[in-house]
Amino acid sequence: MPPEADDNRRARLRRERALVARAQGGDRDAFGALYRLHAPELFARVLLPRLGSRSAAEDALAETFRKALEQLPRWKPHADGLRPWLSRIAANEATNMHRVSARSGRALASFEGLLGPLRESADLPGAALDARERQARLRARLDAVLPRLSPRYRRAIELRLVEERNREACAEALDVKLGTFDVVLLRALRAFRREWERLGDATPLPGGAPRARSQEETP
Amino acid sequence: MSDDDESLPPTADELREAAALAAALDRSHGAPELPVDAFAAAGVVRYARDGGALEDAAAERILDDVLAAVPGPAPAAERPWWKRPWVLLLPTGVGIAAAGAAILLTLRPGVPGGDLPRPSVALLRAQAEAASGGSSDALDAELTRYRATLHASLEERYRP
Repeated sequence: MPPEADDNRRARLRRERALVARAQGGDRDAFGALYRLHAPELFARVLLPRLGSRSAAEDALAETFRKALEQLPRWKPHADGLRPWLSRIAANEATNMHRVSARSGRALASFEGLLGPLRESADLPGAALDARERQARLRARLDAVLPRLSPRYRRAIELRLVEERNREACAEALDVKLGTFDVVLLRALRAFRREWERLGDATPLPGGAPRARSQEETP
Repeated sequence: MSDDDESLPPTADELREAAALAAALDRSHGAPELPVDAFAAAGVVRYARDGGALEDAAAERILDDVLAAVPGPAPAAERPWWKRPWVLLLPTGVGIAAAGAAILLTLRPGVPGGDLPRPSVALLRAQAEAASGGSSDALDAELTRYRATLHASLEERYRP
């Protein structure tokens, strides 16, 4: 680790220790500061890739910090600070959510395996990529994969998932019926996945078969 | 190009999966037919687009929910003044001090000197003169006289 990065990390850990001490004494503003320090990373690097759904990841984030708030008075200081502890709570929460997804009817699908080397363990502070750099790499890979699809598939994905248009607008833009658009998007996403795995050195999901549900996708 | 299947008519399974995928993308709820491979691919596309950023409004709403769900330590209740610790300790402290004073007064041996002869004005003048740099002869004479008076007084007091 470069000396400046090491200094920054030490300074961050010192600030964090001070906040933890205050939060352990019941200071809720200090807990709020710790939340703002760690929540974005946990959401983007642990929960969303494991759950595949923003709403599920937000619920898991709330549960993670609820447990953290309850258990913080008993937390013992660690050389790497709070992050590894919070990451473990979050990962367990994601696993629990997959376990109950069948009962809750929630749509969950981990894409953590598809991120491959672009994924990083959120509890390794020294290896952390800058968030902007990480997103730039992902975006570059997306931009490299989309042109490898047929124009129709590419357009279906862009309309529905990049531009976030509703189904009706997408079907109209492609001049197809609604049901036909749904099938086009399904096929487009499967083609996208094949190209994503083929292009990069992403780790294919075990089995990777279409219809393979929860057991294979569950972290 | 890897889209050889583009022109093929959809199978019955595909139709069910496509409908389940469409519903899941809209509502985040899945049916048993949900094709998780395609749903995960959709997740990757969205993730690559925004990096999984947590929106500020959502972050603050979650924090509020967390703080509301876990009650904080209860604030100490305000006690009336007569129930505060210092009020309860005050009489005890006064009692202990009074008892100590009584014991001391009872056990303290009599100290002589309450009625010792007072130094004369001449002795005080001689002390003042010696202290200001003058002769100490007068002081010596006065002290000799005072000691004699003092010894006589003590002898009188402690005579068996």
